Amino acid sequence: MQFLNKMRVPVGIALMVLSAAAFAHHSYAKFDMNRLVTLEGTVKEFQWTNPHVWIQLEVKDPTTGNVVEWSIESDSPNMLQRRGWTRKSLQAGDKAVAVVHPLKLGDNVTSGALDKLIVNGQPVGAAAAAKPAEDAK
Amino acid sequence: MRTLKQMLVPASMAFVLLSACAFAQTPSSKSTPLTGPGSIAGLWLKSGYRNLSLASLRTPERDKVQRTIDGEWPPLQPWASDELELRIKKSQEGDPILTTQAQCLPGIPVMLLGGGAYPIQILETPGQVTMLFEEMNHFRLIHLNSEHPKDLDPTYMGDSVGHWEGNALVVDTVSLNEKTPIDWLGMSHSAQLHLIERYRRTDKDTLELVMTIDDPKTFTKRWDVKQVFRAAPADRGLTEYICENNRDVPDKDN
Repeated sequence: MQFLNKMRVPVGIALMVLSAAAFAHHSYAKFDMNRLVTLEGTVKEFQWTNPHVWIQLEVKDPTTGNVVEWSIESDSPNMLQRRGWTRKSLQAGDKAVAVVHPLKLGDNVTSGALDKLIVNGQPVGAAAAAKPAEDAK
Repeated sequence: MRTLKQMLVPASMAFVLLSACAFAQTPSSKSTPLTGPGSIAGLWLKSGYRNLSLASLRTPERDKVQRTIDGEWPPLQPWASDELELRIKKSQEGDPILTTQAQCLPGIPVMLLGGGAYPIQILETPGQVTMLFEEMNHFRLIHLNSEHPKDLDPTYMGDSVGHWEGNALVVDTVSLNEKTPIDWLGMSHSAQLHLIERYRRTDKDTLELVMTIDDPKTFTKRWDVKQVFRAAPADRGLTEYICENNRDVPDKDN
């Protein structure tokens, strides 16, 4: 499938693709709503595009000291704008703290859905509505 | 080869002319209609969506299932019920069953119902109502005062014909392929699916859709669903939506 060629994913992923909703526009169901992980790092990339805004964050693993790149997903630009974000809210090189819901399944998880973002000490808009009803208005 | 009736229905034309006198045209804004108050043209946002936004993380799976207009569980045939329960279970486990949405493929009726927060622009031109979906960067054509061709191939968007009944646009859709879901969770339908939609602009900023879902193979009876749309505030309209930029694949082996 054409998306695979464009994605920088390990070869092993190719087998997963057939069984899981693993393409570019997947379901939030893959994330664990009961867990939040706080990541501190440097922004490598900020993609202000549909279907989802993405933040690539370089995070230093506290145990190994290695820098790991996290892929953090948020909502669409349209939705984030209504929560106070702009396309300038973030840029490469910013120091950021991201609170994310990691994937439900898998070891070595480096993907999450954004709950809160603090950039250079300042919270950015609101990544997530406090309650589902707020998004529904 | 389809025969399109290009002539406007006299009744609706008269209605538009009469209301054009009474209706004060505001400066160009995507959220106000270009024609009379019965027009459904504009930039619209689905209200009540729960299935795409991060808020969906806090919404139980069963609440994501498209309910009837009365809030009831859909009247599923046994096979369809089993399939839906499996989808719910897999979604709860964090390993959802693949849907067209997950593959960045468009579809009716899912793009009109609970899934997603992307605006829809509705345009009215002679003989056609056009829906532009920010979701999937896609469009839908509703041919006015026309009939479905006899020999149709199933498609993701189906074949839609419509006509005005007073200030309600009534749309009839058939020939939807079986890959498209009813809702974001992935509720299936058969090739027999036949949709009847009624759109009514209840006030300047509100559009109401009542959709009848008619598919005896999947459901034990016809059922109605309701979707309300609100005028969207986006100044420049739809934002481009191309899947290629979502280049990382959150996956359990990532």
